[in-house]
Amino acid sequence: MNHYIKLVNFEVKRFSKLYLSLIIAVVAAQIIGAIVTSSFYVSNAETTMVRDQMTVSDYILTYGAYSLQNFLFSEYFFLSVIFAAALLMIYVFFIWYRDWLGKSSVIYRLLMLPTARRNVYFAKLTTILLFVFGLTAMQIILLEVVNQITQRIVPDQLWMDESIIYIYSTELLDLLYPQSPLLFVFYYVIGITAVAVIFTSILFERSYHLKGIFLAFIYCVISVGIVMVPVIVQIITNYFYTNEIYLLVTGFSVLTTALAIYLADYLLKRKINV
Amino acid sequence: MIEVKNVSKKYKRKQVLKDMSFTAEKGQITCLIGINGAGKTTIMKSIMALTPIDRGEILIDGKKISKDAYEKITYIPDRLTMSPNYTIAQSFEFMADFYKVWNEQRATELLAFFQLDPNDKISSLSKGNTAKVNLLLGLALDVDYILMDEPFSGIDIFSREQIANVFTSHLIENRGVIITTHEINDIEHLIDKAVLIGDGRVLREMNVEEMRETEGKSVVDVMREVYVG
Amino acid sequence: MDVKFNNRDPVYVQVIRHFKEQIAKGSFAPGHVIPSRRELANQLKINPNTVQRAYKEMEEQKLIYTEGNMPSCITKDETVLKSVREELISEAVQVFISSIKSINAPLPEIMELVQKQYEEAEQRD
Repeated sequence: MNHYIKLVNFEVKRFSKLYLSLIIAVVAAQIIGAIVTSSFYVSNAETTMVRDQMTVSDYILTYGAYSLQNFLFSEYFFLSVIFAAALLMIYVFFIWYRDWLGKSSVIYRLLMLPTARRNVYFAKLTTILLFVFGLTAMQIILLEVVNQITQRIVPDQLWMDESIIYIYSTELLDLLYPQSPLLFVFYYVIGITAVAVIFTSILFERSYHLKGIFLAFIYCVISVGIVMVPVIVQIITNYFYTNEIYLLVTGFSVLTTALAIYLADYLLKRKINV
Repeated sequence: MIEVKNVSKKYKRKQVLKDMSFTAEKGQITCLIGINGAGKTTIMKSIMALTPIDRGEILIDGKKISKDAYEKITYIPDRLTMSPNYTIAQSFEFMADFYKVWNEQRATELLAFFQLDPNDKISSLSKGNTAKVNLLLGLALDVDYILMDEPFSGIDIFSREQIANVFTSHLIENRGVIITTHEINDIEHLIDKAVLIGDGRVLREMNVEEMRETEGKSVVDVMREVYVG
Repeated sequence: MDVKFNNRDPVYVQVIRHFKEQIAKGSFAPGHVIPSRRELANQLKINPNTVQRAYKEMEEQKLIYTEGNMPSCITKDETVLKSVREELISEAVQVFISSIKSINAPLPEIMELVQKQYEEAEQRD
């Protein structure tokens, strides 16, 4: 357990510089985005109201008031989230490959540690999870900051306050912050499973090289198949309630993750090649 | 004792190790001799379970390798095994964190011996100094067995002398050492056993003093016999 | 200590020979403490196991002795010291005799030449 924690510490510290840069970039993009979209709306509204001789209520009736959703549907928000997601996705691969690349072969050291090799796997998995949670937690705070900034730019009459529940059911947000506990567990279990399957696929490639890529592909197909079993059963028999399907898929996902870990353990112990 | 028993391994269609067998005793320096590609590095990696073998077995003190074995045996490859962004001091912390057998005192001693600055970033070091750090990280572990892959390669002649010094010092005393090298001339007097490897198999395994006593031959003589004659 | 070892004769034999030479020359005085196994290995740049073997042989040949836990010393036994000198001299004489045997010169002539050259060498030193 001790070694596992130390490895998590090691992995987190390695990525922290890049992670910090990412956070700064996202924060900057969203704050700038918030300022730009709200200022643009306000100046646009003022110009239109003068030009067309409209009152504020007329304007709101015709063009709509400004709410946080305006920001949420802007490219600034969308792109910053996609960018962060893409970077983390790349790191899901890079967190392994970086140990083989370059002049220094850290993988030698990781595999020669007096600890079960699966701890290396767990540490990397945990690290990805921590970084994802970190970003999603940060986003909640950031959204509130954006909210405050926006309210200072947009005059009260043009501002439409919306409930938090409503805000968080906007497209991208409802994916990151699902409102039903079942959905929350579902999304995050699927997410963990996906990362675990990718990790094990990487280990197939590192163990068997070209042949490994084929094996990895087959393995991915099998994994997806296992997760989809309840869905397929449902298509055939139409027996389950929707909630039950989510539950079942979650369960089969956990099974798939267990398989991923089992295979990873085997590959790391017996087949891995530096 | 490290026992390599009938180890065979294929890698990408090439039979890299062919029924290889030899032993390396604790308290002795065993030298694996062979040209590049003969299988020296591969067998070392196999001993450390850094690459799989197809047939045969490898025993360390009678047991197959396990995670605990890494507190008894260490491998110093020809590449760096630490994050290059770390300073030397940070690499010490890392090792101390994971290895119970990390000897901080010995590490500091070696630091002075090699004249290295603990606050230097590893990535900023010259090739020779990087090799020294590598060596240091292995030697500062209180392990029974040390595997060194070409410890003399890429190092200037004065550093080589330093390393030869290391071999006759308390740093190596009582440990079992397996080294591979091209520079057999520098170390003929330092080794106990020579294992001549060619094309993935052991061509000759011999105690060097015995060879001198019984046949009056040096290691280089035997090499000539085995590889050319 | 700058001793050159060849690669074909057993190194431990060469170490013993080196010791015998130093004893015969008087560089290693009787009772002189000899370096530890590891120290000598480091000085001579050879394998400590080789030094171990040499020391063991020398102990058996009574060239060195060890009292309890004290470091080993050169023997003080006059008989042994004398026989070492004699051994080395006799070896050198053997080599000399076999190399000039074929020339077939009479012994007095040989002895005269030996004396002359020996005295010349002494003066030079």
